[in-house]
Amino acid sequence: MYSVLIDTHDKNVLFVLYKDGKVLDKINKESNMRHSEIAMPSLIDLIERNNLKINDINEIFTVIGPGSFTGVRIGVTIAKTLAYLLKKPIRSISSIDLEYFSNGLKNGFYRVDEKNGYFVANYDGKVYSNTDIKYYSIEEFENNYKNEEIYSNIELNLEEIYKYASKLEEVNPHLVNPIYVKQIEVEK
Amino acid sequence: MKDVYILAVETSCDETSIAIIKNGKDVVGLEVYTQMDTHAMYGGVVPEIASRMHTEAITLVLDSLLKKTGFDLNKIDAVAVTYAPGLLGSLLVGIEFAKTIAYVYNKPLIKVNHMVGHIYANNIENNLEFPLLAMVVSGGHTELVEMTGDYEFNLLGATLDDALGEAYDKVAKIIGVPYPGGPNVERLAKDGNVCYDLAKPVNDNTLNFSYSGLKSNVINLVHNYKQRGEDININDLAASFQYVAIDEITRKIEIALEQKEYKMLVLAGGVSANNYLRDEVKKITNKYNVKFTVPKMLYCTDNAAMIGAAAYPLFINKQNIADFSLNAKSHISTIE
Repeated sequence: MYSVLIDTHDKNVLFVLYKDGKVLDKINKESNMRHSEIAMPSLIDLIERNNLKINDINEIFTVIGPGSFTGVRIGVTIAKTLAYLLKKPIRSISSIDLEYFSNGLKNGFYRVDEKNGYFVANYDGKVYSNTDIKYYSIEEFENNYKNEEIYSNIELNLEEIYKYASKLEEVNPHLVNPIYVKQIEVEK
Repeated sequence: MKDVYILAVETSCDETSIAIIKNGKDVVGLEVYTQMDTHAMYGGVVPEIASRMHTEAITLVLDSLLKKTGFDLNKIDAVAVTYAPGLLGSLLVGIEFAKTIAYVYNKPLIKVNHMVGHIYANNIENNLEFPLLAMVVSGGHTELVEMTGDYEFNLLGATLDDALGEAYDKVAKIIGVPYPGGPNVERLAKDGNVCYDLAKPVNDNTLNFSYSGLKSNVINLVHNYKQRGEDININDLAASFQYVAIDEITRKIEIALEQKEYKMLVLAGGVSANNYLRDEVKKITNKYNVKFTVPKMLYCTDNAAMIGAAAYPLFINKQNIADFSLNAKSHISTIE
């Protein structure tokens, strides 16, 4: 059973190839915001250097943000198109879930850093994948979370991520979309 | 010869469109999902919202196309995609989608210039006959291009500042007409008389165009009337603007037709949907006894059928074959 994780939400492009839940190979490249030039060639390289064909992939995981709007869309577009064409199951993971899963589902506040602020989610044990994510400027964050204990910059544990992500519900490929937390001008 | 099927993808602005084109001419299927109503709420296209809506729609648009046509994707010979010009975030959704299809089906990926697509929209129902003169008019382009064969372009002239469609949109803003500005200004002009005196732009014998002076002229006129406390008739103002703006196009076409014999003139780009422009250009081509073509409305506005039509000669001549690192470009000329 082969699985692929696609994550393009930040400055890196990450593709992980799993076999039966164990990391078989991965590509993690800084792209200098040129995701579109790096992403597809990296995926193809990962599949080919392991002597696989794209049809051999049994399931897809995609990181839906929050993060760079354009960055996330590149990975999500590839992932949902693959799932649709290959008729393979797809599951979405938030960029904060990645840290929560890597941290072995320890409850608490989790934070993902952004250029001018933070994305924050509260994992209180009631929910498994948390899409109720708030964005705070650095100042707002200091005011709201000064006395809270908060998990941040957790090192990703790819096999823990697989272990928990594989239990998420499948999503219809057409409905796999990025989550947008930061407001854009016209929404304000 | 074996039939060639091209799957074409277009997401450069606010339409998510996918088409299947046989031999560059037969439209086996075409889906166009327009976001116009959403952007109308904001008074113009919001790039970030356009990108989001493309991502949400893209696989659904393909699914609808395949269901309606019953077409088997295994039969495609190539995947064509608009890579420029347009909104970067929007173009990228189409590009990554097209790359994924090309990869899964192991077919060549062909990159297509959106403006060239508009010219080849004329090859769907008519046949391009060379040498031809193409007048390319859109929100970002005003170019007079000579074609001596498939993909053999000479740029004869271009706008020195604003594009024709941009001028329509700016005038729409000045006189308070809602989005989409261009079609609404044309509609107002239908019930107006040319009575306001607006100076003609670049009154020279080059084949270049200019619209920023005309736009300033309209701003000053509206300002002067306001200061004097007089009402301006917006129908008459729209008609007066349109008269000068389109006169600039027909005058330059006439100069080009004087200089060289052409078999046909094609009108291309979003503004070619303007009926006044079509009629005025037709008068000139009639005078010079040159064939005139303009695509039907469906192929005038942004659509993937024209991208498939433009990709066909590229497929046959193995040109513009892109690798999987293809990136989007926001600005390029028709002849690049």
